[in-house]
Amino acid sequence: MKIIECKQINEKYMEIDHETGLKILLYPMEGYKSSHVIFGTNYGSIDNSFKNKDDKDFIEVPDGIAHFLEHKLFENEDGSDVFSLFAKTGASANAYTSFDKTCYLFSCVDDLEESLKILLSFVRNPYFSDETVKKEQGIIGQEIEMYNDNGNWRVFFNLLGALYHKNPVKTDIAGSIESISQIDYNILYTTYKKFYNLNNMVLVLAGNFNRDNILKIISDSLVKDVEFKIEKKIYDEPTNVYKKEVEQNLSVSMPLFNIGYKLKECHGKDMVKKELIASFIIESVSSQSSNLYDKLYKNGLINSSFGGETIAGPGYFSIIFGGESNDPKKVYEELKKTIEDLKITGISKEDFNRCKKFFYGNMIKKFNSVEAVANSLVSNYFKGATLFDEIDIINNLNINDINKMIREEFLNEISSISIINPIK
Amino acid sequence: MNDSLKRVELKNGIYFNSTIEKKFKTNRISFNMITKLEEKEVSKNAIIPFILEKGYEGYDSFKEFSIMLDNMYGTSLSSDIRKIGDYQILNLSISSIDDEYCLEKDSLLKDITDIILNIILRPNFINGKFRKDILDLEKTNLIQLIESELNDKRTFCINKLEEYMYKEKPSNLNKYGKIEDIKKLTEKDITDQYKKLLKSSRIEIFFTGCGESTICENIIKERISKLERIEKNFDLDINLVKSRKNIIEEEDIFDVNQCKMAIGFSTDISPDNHKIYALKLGVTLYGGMPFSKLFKHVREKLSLCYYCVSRLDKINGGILVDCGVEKNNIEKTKKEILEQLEFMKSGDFSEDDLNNAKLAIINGYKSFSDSLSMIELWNISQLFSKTNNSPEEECRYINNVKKEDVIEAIKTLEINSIYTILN
Repeated sequence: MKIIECKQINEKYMEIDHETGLKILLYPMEGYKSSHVIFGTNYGSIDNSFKNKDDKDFIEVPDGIAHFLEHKLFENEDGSDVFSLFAKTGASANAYTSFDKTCYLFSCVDDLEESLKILLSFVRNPYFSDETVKKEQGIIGQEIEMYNDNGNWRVFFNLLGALYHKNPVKTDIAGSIESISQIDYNILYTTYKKFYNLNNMVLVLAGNFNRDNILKIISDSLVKDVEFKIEKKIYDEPTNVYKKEVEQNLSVSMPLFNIGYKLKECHGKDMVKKELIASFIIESVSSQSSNLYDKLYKNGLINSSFGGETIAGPGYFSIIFGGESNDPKKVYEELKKTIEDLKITGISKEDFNRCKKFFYGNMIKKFNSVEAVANSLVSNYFKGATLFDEIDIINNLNINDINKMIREEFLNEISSISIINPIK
Repeated sequence: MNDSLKRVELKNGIYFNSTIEKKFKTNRISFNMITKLEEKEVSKNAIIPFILEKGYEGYDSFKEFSIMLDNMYGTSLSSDIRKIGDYQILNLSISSIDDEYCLEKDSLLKDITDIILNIILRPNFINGKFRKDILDLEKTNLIQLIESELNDKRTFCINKLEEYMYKEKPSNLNKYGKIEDIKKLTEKDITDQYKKLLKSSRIEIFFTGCGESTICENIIKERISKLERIEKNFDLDINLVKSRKNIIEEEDIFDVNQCKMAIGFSTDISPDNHKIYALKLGVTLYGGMPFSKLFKHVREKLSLCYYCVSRLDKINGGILVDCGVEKNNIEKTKKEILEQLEFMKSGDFSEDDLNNAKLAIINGYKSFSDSLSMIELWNISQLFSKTNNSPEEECRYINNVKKEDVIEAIKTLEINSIYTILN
């Protein structure tokens, strides 16, 4: 067992390499009544081509399969669903699939140990049949239609489709009605067996729990897994963007836009550092404290929905600005000008120090919530970092790190705009 | 009696509510002006918090104000309009990390108290009025905000249902006002309205966090001492939606892939009536959880919807069901939703089902004390329900509900309105 500690804010958690191959992260939070538990696998929507290390060819699976698996694991062999088991403990259970991970979770106040047994059991015991797969195609079909009507969702995925040529991050997490119609129970079993290996998974508990009882349940519930030998296909993604512009018409009140900058991918702690540097740039370029926001807001080109975010994972790293505007192309033009100016001046010392304080404060706020702590533990772990690496990185960040990224990687020529226009 | 909440009346109709939880690392102060929803005032009120949050006397630009907040370890200031029952709430809140976590010796709690008071008491006036340039921008933004409700068809569908269902009540009004009225607002209109609110609205201030609430309370008490307040009854009224003989059925057509349907029911059980706990359980059993009747039958058994849920709007006496569905399945889904309600009324649920619903609600209530925002929402909800219960007390009330109580409560439901978005 390893203790991961941050003396600066007096916080710590435990990291355990369990004999079954599972990584366990335990974060006790004094004074809290509830717990948040996440059982996650390092497998998401982008992992649609893979092989065992000794296999000759890659197996290609239909888009949306990770998300389909997530839905189907909630069904037991006797036809009952997992929610009916959680109903007896009072825990609130859910699951989600992202680009690079699938997570099963619950939060509770009482009966944590019984809920943990249910979680470990249903994720480890899949049951799929022709009939249940067909039923799920109907439900997920409705989910896909719901997202197809959602302007904010569409503007985002249309942008990714414009930024990336090959990386599957460009594909909708749930796939399409056409792609999920190709899914059968055999493909589900094959994929499950490859990725739901304990050596590829993490279990996180944050909040109120008894460590010894938890570890006993884990040891009693799980058996040692076989070696994990999967190789995921690496896409040879060109540096440039696939398309400069993409537009779609939907039933929305005013145009929605996303502007994306495609940066070089990276891994591990470097990714965490790069994400933080990108966040500094977003904050100094587009926050309410920035010159650009001030100018665009005063000219009525943006409203308070304007902001930025980063997305990063295996093979992809982008900075995305988004909002609503009656003239998205003008916003894009102004953003490009701001970036060109920044390349010359660099960000100011005042802006740098302001961002440092801003992000430090935001990081502290995260430790108020069992859910936020558990979520950060999972995402940092799969990136190869600890929860406190961000604080260290902020402490040691240098203004030159920010200006280097602005000058070398934040390039207007490697950017795209996606717009959703109102149907006239 | 909610022991963790300390509540004092600082001045007539102005209350300071504090909950200290040492486990948190932040402090939050929320300022709420509560006023009855009225057609002629709703738009004027709605724009005020968005203007106020742009700064106070001495700050020429929002950017400078924003930089100051960022430098205070990312202190966040937010404004919004809430609607509960027949009331409109103008909300401004500020939150920051506790002094203990500052890198230098700072007194953030005192500073954020001063900032929110400056915003309220020393607004950025020119010649005694709100600034025209800020008003004009915020008028555009507020109009865009109202128009953008269309972007999320699920919320739009529920809002439209409420508009029809509560049409005889003030709560049918959009909390952000009416576009035509917003366009006409002048600096004088909103300045006069703001002065009126400071004098006559009920004001509820909430402090939630790990810091010393007395620091905050004393500053507020001192600074509002000169505030002029009228003498009146500041009580909040409960006004439940009435049942109707002829159901309202309305629909609109949009260019969408998925249709949406919302069905509203009325109840005569008031939030201060003890039967509300049985009703809460009944609505949870009906469609509030992934083991409820609507999830099990409409989604899992018939694969008609991805979501089909029910929720209780206890302050208005409304129960709302909403779902996303294919056009050719609308009638089938509606029939199933209504049939499942009849099953509930005839007691077609087991003691096990009831216990599960109790566990789910109790689990949720017990975890409220782990979240700053949930603590505040709980306390606001108690005010409007005219109760003063802690989550633990309500857990006991929920636990004591019997099956026959749930049947009796669910039997009070009468279908009131249906709104559908078609493609």
